[in-house]
Amino acid sequence: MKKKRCYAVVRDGEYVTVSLSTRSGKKLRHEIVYDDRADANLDAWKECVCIVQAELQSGSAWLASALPVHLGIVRKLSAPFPSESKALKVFPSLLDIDIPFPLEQCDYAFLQPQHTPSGHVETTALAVRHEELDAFLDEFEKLNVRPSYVDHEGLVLWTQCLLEQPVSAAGDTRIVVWLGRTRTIIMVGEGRGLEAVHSIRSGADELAAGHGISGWAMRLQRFLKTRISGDKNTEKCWIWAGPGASQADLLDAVVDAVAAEFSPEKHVLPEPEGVLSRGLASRILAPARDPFNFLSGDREDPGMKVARNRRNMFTAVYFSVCGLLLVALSMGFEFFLKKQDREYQAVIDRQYLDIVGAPNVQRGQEVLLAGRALETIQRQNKPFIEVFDPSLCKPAGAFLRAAYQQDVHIRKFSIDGEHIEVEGLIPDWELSGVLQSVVEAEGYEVEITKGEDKQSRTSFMLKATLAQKVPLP
Amino acid sequence: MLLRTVLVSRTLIDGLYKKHDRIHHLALMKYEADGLRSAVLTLERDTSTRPTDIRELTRTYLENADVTSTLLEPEATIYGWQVQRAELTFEQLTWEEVSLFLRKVEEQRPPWRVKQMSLTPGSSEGLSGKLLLHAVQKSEI
Repeated sequence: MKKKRCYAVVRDGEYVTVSLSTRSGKKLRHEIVYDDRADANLDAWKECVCIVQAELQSGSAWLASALPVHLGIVRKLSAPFPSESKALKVFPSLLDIDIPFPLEQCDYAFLQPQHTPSGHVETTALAVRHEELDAFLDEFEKLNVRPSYVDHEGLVLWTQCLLEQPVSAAGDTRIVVWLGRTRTIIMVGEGRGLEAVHSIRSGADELAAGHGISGWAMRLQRFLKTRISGDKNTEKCWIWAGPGASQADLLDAVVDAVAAEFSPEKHVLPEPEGVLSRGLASRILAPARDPFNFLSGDREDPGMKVARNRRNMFTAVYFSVCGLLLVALSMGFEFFLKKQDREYQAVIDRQYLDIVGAPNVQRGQEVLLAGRALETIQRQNKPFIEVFDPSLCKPAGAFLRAAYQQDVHIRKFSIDGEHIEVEGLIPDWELSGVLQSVVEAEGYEVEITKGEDKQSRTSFMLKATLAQKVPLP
Repeated sequence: MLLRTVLVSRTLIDGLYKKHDRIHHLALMKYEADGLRSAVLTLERDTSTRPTDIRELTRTYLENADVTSTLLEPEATIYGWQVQRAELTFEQLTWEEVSLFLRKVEEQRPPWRVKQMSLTPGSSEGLSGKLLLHAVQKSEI
């Protein structure tokens, strides 16, 4: 849908203007391809149609046109509650009441709803009867072209004026007058909101010839009076566009004609004759815009259908590829986890075999079973470990030598791998500290108990327990 | 498919965490088991697989002493090995004589090791006592 070229076809009575707009980045470039009666220069017209048809068939450009104001209906609708979703449900009924023919006979659409300060939801409804739209398309069939987009003239002109001449204050009344060759379009709105659109079937050609200016002005004033206050002091912004606005004498004449009631400014947009073409193209090509299109359902342009189908197909393929990638990733991740699990289990099996000396048969119980096996190994290998333990002669010798030096009489001495027990007589109880420190130096926790005094000596009992086994070398 | 993968992956990841803990515990156990076995391996490398007869050692190092040596029933240990046990009782020996004898028997390959020792003063200057000695030896298969 992101094409960069758009042909805009504007029909103004017998006149046809074809312009080409090209988008480059955010900028749009416009050029007139054909601007005359269709039958005035047949060769040029045929060449123009050939070029347009070739581009449409290749899918490189859109063709846009605008439904004339007198064929369509523009209505401002207001739903008296703040819920946008509810408002969207009642807008069709409100429109049905407001138009002079059944809604079923129309193509219609609602612009983006707006919340009002009073808590209502407002929108602008656009509608066209099926037969009017078909007649409009038949006119294009005669020209051998078929538009991809049919927008609404009033909407296109209003939004393009907002783009080229932004509103100065949110609540200002704005009047846009498009002076075509054979008709005039008048739009009224407040701030950015379009309120009403009116068409007068007199244009620059007739007015420039001096015919019917007063009648034209009268019809314009009558429309404006029903829409806005006639107070001259009220702030109003007048904008002039269209082929007639580029004729200074004509513009002076029409401004004078309405001056009695409204005192309009003569603010003319640059290159006023191309405003409608530029508006059509910019609504389609500008990236941030969402163009309005009366062509839907059976009337939809085949090229548009192809583009949408292509986009849908691309979306489907994109999501399918994403889905497949996700599935592949998840399968790959699962495979990786399972591989990691196998590697971990292989390490466990190898460690288990090394400890127990037999293959692992109870998965998940490895630590428990290996612990039991280790207890057995500790018990069975104890005699081998003890071979490398320090000899009991060392603590025994240290104690006995100290006892001999302190003149201690030993009555009983016993030692094993964990304990020392001594009974004896010591000449002075204060020397017991020497014995205690000698045994403690060998790594034992010592408890020495004083007994009875016998023959000027004190009996004692020493019990020592090995505090910590010397680790393996 | 994705939900299945999420569930399966979660189970697998939980299992991996548990196995990681198990590997850590088993590594510590294996370190301890290797240490215990290294003692056996050291003795395996010795050329003599039986300890010297304790009676012969007594005769050699406690000549003329009043010593009674008794070989006790061997105890079973790991496959291919047994613990030889001997009990010695003696009278009127000095501590120097006892300690010299014990140093000599513990220097043997495989060595005799003192498991228990009890000493009491004798009637004169010497010591009376009892020794329980152990030595690991290869079984006779």
